[in-house]
Amino acid sequence: MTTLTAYILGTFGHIVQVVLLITLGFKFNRRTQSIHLIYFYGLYAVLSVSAFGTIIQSLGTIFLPIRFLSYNTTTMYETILSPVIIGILQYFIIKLISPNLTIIRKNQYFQKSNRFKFVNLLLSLSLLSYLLIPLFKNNEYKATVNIFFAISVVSLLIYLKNTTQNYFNLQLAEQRQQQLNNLTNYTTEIETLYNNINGFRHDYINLIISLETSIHNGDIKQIREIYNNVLQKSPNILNHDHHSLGVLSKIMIPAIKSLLSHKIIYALEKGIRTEIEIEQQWTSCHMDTLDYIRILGILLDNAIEASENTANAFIHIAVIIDPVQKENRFIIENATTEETSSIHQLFKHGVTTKGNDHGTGLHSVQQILIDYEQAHLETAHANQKFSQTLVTQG
Amino acid sequence: MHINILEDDIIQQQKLKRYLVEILQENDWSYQQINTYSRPEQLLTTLTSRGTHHLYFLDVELKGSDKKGFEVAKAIRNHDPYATIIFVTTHSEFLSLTFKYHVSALDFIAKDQDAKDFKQQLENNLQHVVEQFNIDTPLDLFQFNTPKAHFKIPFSDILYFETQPGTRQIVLVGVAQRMEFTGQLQDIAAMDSRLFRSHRAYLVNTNNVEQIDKANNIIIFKNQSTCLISRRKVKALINIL
Repeated sequence: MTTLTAYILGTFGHIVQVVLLITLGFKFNRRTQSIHLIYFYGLYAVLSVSAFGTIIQSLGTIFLPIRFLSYNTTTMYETILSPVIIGILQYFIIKLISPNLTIIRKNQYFQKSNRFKFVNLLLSLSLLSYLLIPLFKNNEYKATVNIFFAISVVSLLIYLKNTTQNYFNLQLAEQRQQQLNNLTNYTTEIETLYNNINGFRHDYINLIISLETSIHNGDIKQIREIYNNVLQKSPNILNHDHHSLGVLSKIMIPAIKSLLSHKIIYALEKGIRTEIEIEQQWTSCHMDTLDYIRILGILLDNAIEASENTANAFIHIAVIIDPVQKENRFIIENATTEETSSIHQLFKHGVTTKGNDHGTGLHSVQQILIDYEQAHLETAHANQKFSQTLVTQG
Repeated sequence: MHINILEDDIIQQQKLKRYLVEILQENDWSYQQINTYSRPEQLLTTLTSRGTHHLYFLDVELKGSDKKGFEVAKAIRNHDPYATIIFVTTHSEFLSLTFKYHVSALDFIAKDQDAKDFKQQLENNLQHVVEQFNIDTPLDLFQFNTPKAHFKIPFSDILYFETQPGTRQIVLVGVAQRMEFTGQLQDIAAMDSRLFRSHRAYLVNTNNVEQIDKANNIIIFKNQSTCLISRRKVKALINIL
């Protein structure tokens, strides 16, 4: 009867712990974290303590001559020393897997992926099996299952570490490939531009030479003809939209250059008048480059999507660099159809003006910015002009 | 309204002046005078009084220097942080957004667009100035300066401040803008007596509150934005209003 009560209490205690942790997680982090992650944290906390406890206690039985020690010493080992060891062990293990936890925390897609759900499922099963252990009457049997449980939790951790690492590497490789493709496009675009200008230069030299002969002969009619010829041609080439790409040479961060060139070329192809201003050399974005380009990507996509359907489609980008204050401002303005909007609404999860498939954009920007105290977003919307400013400080 | 035009091409100068007079008369907006200058020095020596009602229309390309107009704008801005500066320029590769930011210019107007669009853009700008002038008690700017954030915004543009759960960030929600920065709500509350802490997470500009929905504990602002108010604060807010 007593064992049954202890068992019920133990089971009850564990379930209460898990539920409590998950509820607390929900209460404080629901807006910033996904359900799966909170569930994982709750389960992990309880299970890891149990698993390490099991390991340490069985190590104690093996290595410490418990048989020869007094009952008090054994109790002391189990009640005082083992929690301390668990704490220390926990600290080192979390330190070991913290880069992986960061990857998971930052990656909404991974949190929703089946792999992560699988880990959660296995953790739940482990908890279940752990709770069932005391039901075995045979002590040896109990110990085996106990050890099995501990090993399974540890191997689950290793599995998690490996999957996240793989996932991260894969993403990194994809990003590199994307960046390379963008830069290749950029080079092609610049080459075309160079060829255009070179062709123009060639024509121009010929015209000047023929102008010289005409001037020499005093043939005003021919001079006029040649002059008109030049005038007709040059604005076309000199005002070519793609000149804005030249400014990108001031960007010293290849990932950003790649992204901006890709998006600008895309916008130009869609017939959106796109201008970019960069006054000074751009050497640092004052935050993790991957996070920075994720935000820029979302802002640029939003701008392209919003201005696409307007009569006077334009996107105007400016990068203002203040080397003294170590502050960067990335300003992006675009045309919109609506006069104004309730801007604050746009930042709520899932809210969008463009149909159901969109709208996670600005929410994701917020998710990324949570980790940076020195980065902010400013938004304004008036006179059919929507503007976003990303301010980052070093 | 006190309008100054700096433009070295007399034809352009008179054209701009004519348009401005037409727009002002059509809309029945009052103005004191329109001064025209063709040299920067002339304009700069006349800078005396200050305020949003001082309008400066500046040409960027002036004789001798293709960015003279920006220097003039900087000088005006140093003299008067509240003046309204508008650049009028031939469309070119000027860093318009960059300079708009540096001297807080209201707009860039391209000279080479057709007359109708040109005039429309002028009218939009004047409209904005008139609206600002009607709302604002003179020079009522809310300034925030800490190492982590610095900005200026007309006080009447502020609706409320909100804390971002789980972070140390605060969101300023304005009539037509939204801004995030790092700070503490109680510090901001101490900066201006017109700000009222309606809720653990909200600090509202009492001047812009339109009504209080007591049933749902919600404050409704003049542009129909809403934020929360805690029940025990309702009475205090009604007393203030």
